[in-house]
Amino acid sequence: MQMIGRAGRIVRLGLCSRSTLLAAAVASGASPAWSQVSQTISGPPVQVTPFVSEPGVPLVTINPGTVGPVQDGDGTGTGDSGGGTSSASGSDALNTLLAQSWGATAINEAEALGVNPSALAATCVVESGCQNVGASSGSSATGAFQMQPGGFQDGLNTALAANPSLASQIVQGSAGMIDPATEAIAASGYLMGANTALQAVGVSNPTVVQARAYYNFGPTAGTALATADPSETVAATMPNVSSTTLARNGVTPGETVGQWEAAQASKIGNAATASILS
Amino acid sequence: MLKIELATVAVCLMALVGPAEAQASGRRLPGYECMMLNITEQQAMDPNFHVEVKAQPLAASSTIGWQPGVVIVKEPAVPNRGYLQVLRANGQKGWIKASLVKPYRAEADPTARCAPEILPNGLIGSGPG
Repeated sequence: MQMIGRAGRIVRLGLCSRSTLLAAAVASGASPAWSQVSQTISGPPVQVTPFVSEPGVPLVTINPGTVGPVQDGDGTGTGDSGGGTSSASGSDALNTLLAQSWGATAINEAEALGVNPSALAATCVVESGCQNVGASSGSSATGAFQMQPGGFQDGLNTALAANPSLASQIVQGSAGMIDPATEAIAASGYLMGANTALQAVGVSNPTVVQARAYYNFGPTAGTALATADPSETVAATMPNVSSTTLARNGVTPGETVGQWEAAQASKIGNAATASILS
Repeated sequence: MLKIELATVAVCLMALVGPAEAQASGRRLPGYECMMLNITEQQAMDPNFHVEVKAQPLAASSTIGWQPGVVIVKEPAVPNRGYLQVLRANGQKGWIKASLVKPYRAEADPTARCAPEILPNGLIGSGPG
């Protein structure tokens, strides 16, 4: 087992994060097509409500009057001030997830478990750019959420214990790890575990960025970051973890907790401060 | 003149250590010391492994939470019925089996220091001292 928590490979994450940011920058800088007429809309677009639900296809209900199906952050982020620059808003992660064919299903599954869809979206954005990628050499982590077999099974167990009805949506066996919708259930369950662990150490309202530490380093080591001074080094905060493991997770010698959290937050956007649970 | 020079040095130091270091630090918490869990790296990263914090120094006592890797122990660290009194992140007092705690020494950085703090966000935690 590669000691990278139960989840991702940071090397891959860095690349994905960069590409995501690049895509966002390109998108924000592009001019509207000539044939389009710009409109200002208030709230989400009108949702098409089917008369008959297609079997096996979950229904995502968007509440009219809200900005989006979930709330990101506390609304105090560094939104676009109108200067024409890219806005790395908290909805970036959710938009990236929603752009995937399985994104709406994943959001529905997260909501069925009481997990904030932004927390789930942030996980796949950081882990893979929400691309259903395979495992790289030397690692058993795979899929959009880059889960290892043990973490995948733990997450599934947690999720199904909380909501047994999700069992019907799971692709059984190892094939489930490369089925993004199934892995989303496992990742949601893993985030529930993160919330439980962080609350168990005394953090009353765990955030997405705090869940990142749990996702990478597990409960005992990961929760230590949530209870450390930002100026403390990551190495000092997790005294049981070796320098080899820290390096595998992309932690550089002397890197502080504040720097690590800021790096995570820059990949996530302002959903970093959102709660793990809805 | 001395004041100006000290201020200049402080500004230079801030620039050297970077923005994260410039964040507000916590306040030292007297009467407590840093120790660490006496567990393996594998255990520290295992989702199914937890060190329980008890309400009282008794095996039969209720569990009030789990313990992160750094343990804030009440000084002097003398066991009471085999348990050490600890302070949780939310300020609640609890007890951990003394055999599960050992002196602080970070694997990845043996020179690292640790001091109990009241963190900028109000939680109890650890800092560089």
